[in-house]
Amino acid sequence: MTENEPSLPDIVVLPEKFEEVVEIVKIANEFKIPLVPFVTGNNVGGLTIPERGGIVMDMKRMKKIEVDEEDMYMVVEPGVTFGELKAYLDKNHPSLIYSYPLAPPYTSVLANALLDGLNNLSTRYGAMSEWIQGLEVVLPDGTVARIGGKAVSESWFSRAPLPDLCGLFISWQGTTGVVTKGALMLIPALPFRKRFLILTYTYSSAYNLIMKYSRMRTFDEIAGFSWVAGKMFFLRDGRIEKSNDDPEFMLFVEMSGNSEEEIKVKERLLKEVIKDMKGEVEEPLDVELMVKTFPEYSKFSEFPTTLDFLLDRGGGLTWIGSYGPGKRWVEGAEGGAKILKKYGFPPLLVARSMKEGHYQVLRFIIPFKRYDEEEKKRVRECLKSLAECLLDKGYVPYKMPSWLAPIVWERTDKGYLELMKKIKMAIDPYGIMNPGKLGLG
Amino acid sequence: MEVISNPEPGKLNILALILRELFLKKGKSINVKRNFSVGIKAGKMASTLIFKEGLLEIKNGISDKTNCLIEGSLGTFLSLTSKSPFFPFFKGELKIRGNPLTLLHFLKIINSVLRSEK
Repeated sequence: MTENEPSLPDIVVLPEKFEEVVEIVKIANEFKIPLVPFVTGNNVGGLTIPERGGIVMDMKRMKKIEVDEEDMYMVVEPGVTFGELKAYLDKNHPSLIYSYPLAPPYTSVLANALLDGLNNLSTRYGAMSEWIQGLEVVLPDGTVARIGGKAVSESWFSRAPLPDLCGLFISWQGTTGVVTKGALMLIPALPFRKRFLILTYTYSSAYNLIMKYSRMRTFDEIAGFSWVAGKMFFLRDGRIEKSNDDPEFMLFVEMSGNSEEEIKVKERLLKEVIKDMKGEVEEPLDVELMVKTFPEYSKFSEFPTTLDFLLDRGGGLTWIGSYGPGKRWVEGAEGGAKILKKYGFPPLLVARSMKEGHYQVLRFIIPFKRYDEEEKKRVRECLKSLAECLLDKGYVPYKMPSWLAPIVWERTDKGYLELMKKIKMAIDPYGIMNPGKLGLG
Repeated sequence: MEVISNPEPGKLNILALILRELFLKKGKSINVKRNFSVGIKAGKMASTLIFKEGLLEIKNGISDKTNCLIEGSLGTFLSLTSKSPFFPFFKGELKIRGNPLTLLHFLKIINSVLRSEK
């Protein structure tokens, strides 16, 4: 699926038990063999491509889920996917929910949290690492550590109050150890839920609306796509162009409540905000109505949300995503859209307000022809240009692929980089863990 | 009913694209014998549906020769599926200009399309 070059491992192992993971890690360390933790291999940045061969440790057989209803968290193993989790919670713990990404249902819940992904409830809670309450990790030398409240208590109740070592494994892309368990927060499921789609005519009006809604602290999700996604949804193939009267952006706003009355109040608040924005913004459209007319539209309204229609355009899909300051979001969105057009790709952009508007997402997606080498070359050049644009606007890429790390580190605080290298050296002196990733040797 | 778009579908605005999808998916079994055209304006987006000799042509913008023009939000337009088609007009959520008989005829078509399974 990705434009990144493939590479084969020397061996693939599929542990089922924690003890097997410990043994595999010890062997890799003893013989200094590269070790790549892997679950479904769907990361478009190629984070599980074994660049230097060695062992790919495929953890898809590790699928245990345990839920603590009282303290509202679950402990999951790496092989648990979003589809499985949703089915499990719906069946066994319907009073609790998790947050779901714009990703296929077969992607890993724990990998998404460890890689700082963004999910539907990120508008309230921020990147998915914020849902982590504790980790069980196997260090390269075989040491097993339980981090968070669990280090002392029988419960994984919180990361606080001990020194927080979870950060040693978050967004490190498996370069510091193998995470075998993650305790993740769950939240109460409210019985009523409604989703709206709002069309806006400029990036600027989209951003204004995003910020107004974020600061109201009323809605669960505030996210959106540029016009391209809407058109691709309704037109599976062929070239698409923006018409003069097309909206620039489609915003999704989701609300939940304890009663129908609460939803009605939230809906009224939603509509009141746009009264002053006539001409810039269309009236909110109830997604349920769209689904009733076009059942395929449920892809946008149900979780996990699948955007498989993006793969209909040649089987290749890649993106560059970043988190950054709201004040430069419009510049970033416009700049990125120009770059995509320059390289001959439609300006497909995803946005999301994070942690009640404290930071924003800018993510550019490129569907491409998977077996067209010329197009893949153009994709790579375009991604580099987008990366520079995002960094210029103060946006920092998440789940960064190997090729991007040197570009980011070029602009990174030197002391921070030095600290990263020291930590990596201390934990993984032989550099066996997912080598090549993050530019850490 | 066969649906054609002018310009090519990729250049249609989202409103026109949604209408095209609607008629492609649910309008196959519908036969329209009369020739007429309807302009639809949802917010800033506009498109024209031209019913001619059993064909439906979908265009961007409002053509000069439309028999009637319906104006409202995309949501209200889609809500025709769940309510009486006249309801949004009585409530003033959808406005009409032009020939009311054409509107009646169009509403009959759109109602069967929106309620149709295929």
